[in-house]
Amino acid sequence: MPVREELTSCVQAANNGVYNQVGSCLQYSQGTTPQIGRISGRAVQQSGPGQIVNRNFSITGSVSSYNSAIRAGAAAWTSSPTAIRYTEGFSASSDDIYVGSYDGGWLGRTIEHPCGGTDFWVGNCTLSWSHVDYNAPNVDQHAQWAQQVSTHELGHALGLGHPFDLSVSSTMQSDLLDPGASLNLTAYDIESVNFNYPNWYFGI
Amino acid sequence: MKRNLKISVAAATVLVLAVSGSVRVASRQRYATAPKSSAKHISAMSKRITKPETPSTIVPKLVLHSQASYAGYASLEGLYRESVLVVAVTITSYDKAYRGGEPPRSLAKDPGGPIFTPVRAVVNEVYKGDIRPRDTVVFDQTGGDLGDTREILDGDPLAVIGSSYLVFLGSFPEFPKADYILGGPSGRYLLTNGSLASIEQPTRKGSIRDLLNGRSLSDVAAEMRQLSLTPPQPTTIAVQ
Ligand SMILES: [Zn+2]
Repeated sequence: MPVREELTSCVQAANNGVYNQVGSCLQYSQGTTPQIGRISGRAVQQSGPGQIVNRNFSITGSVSSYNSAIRAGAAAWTSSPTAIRYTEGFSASSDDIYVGSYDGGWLGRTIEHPCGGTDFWVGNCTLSWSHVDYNAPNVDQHAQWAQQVSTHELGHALGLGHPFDLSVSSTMQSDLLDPGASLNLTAYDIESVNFNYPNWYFGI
Repeated sequence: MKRNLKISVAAATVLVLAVSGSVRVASRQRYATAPKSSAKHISAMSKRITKPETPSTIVPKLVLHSQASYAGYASLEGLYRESVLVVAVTITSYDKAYRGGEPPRSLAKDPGGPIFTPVRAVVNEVYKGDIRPRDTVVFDQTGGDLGDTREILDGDPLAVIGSSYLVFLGSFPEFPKADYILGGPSGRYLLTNGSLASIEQPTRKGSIRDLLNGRSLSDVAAEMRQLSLTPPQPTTIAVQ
């Protein structure tokens, strides 16, 4: 079965309660097509072939020294072959990035509204906006992280989860932000977001 | 102030990193060399006398999941050296949760930053830090119940009351009331029958969670004792 149909049927099964987790779809997919078994998205905002998905992001907070890196992180999604076009601005549906100090060991943290960012497939939920927290004291440990964390967290804002396949190269790996890694999206990232917003991968 | 502190205390480390070609500047390394009579010790003491509050019994109307990214650790040494405290604990209670972070741009849109829950635990064993067995330690975890909202950090749920963990804790001067867990799920291991279990499974091959998952506590403790006797080596990048 072609990858797209295979995953689509798995997702439908997940929505019907046959599979509880997207992870099941990944395992399901990996059985026959390991190279594609990486769909970690949940909250699908369907875009038709050739359509562009315009999204806003905003930057706020007590620390402003990361703003240019955060903008570059957003641009990584826009400049890659995806349907996503990020522009800066605050609105009811913008992905809002707050930069400050938090008493946590994380670099960045994203909560997706109204879908909740759950690892569980959420059916017809359409992402509206996301709140991103950017833990400056931790991000400060390495210059590269400023942009990598931005790309990673906005990936969540686009509905991507952490890859089920822990060996894959992806900006969406949760705890393995290698400071020496490329700042560009990987093939995995691009295919993942194009699964959520099927403009290039499934469309044209 | 934080940056100044980091620069002044970690300057030697930065120099070593630069010379060795390593580029990861671990700001929290300052704790590894902090004197035991520092303000950290005082704040740790004050944490121990705060009266615990009754856990929330409110049933949340809204459950929100969030996801986080973390620094990677490639070795026990890296995690151990960045920690202020390394302790085996048993969770006793949660203090009242609070909402942290930056004020929202629009309250109509956004309630604000993450909910944090101060988790209270009694210390069973000490592997690093100025604390004793039977003392109480408090660390913040992201997530918890506040009002009618429950936030869950996927992959790093709240420690379970009554369960025992090996935790690697850090401390920010901005938050003197509670420590935090280094690296989220990388810095906390469930202890069952003397063995460590990673909080989030499966683990990535070569990650610290993979390296520690399933090992015996006595084995890991012996390695940490050895580390405590060995001067820190220049930090290397956690390439995994
Ligand atoms: Zn993440």
